[in-house]
Amino acid sequence: MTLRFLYVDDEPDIREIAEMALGLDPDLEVRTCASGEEALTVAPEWKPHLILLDMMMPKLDGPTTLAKLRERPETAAIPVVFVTARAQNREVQGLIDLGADGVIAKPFDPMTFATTARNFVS
Amino acid sequence: MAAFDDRLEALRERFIVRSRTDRIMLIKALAADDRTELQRIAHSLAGAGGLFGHPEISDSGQRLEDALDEATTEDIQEAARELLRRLEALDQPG
Repeated sequence: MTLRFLYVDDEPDIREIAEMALGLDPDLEVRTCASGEEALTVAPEWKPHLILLDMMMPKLDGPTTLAKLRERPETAAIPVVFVTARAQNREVQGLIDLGADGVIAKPFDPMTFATTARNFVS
Repeated sequence: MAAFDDRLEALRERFIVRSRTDRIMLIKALAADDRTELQRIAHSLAGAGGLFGHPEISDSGQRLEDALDEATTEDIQEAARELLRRLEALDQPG
């Protein structure tokens, strides 16, 4: 079964490496978004199985994007995982408390990123 | 896999080129004690450094982020200067 993963990050080179890394898994279909606003447009129509979300983005940051995804019935149940350089215990717990399904530390290993991300999809 | 490695190498080279701009922005933010900008730069480099083959940049970016959260101005300046030195080292041959 092909899984759709949406990767959201404002930095183009990080989007590119994430897309490359997830693309190593032939059973993943990957799209990227450059902002939280774009993710809020793409997610309801594309219906990803997982959203991977950067934390610090201009305008709509990761936590605000997550809150808006959770507010909307069509995206409320999509698992959301933060990909962030701030992945210490207290920060991870704070993001889980906000409704995230998990956190992947950035920098991630491009060779294992797809496998790590897949673990968040039941 | 060769295509993957080629693209990764191109991204690594681009990171080094972009680090020159990061250095200038870091110097300006440090001079102005602009903590919002320092936070943005630190967070960006903490995430990107290791992805593009420079874990020492991620370590220094993380250290600066931590200093901005909890430490004194002196600690912040020291962490920012360390990050700056490591960015400068990216441009040194060898």
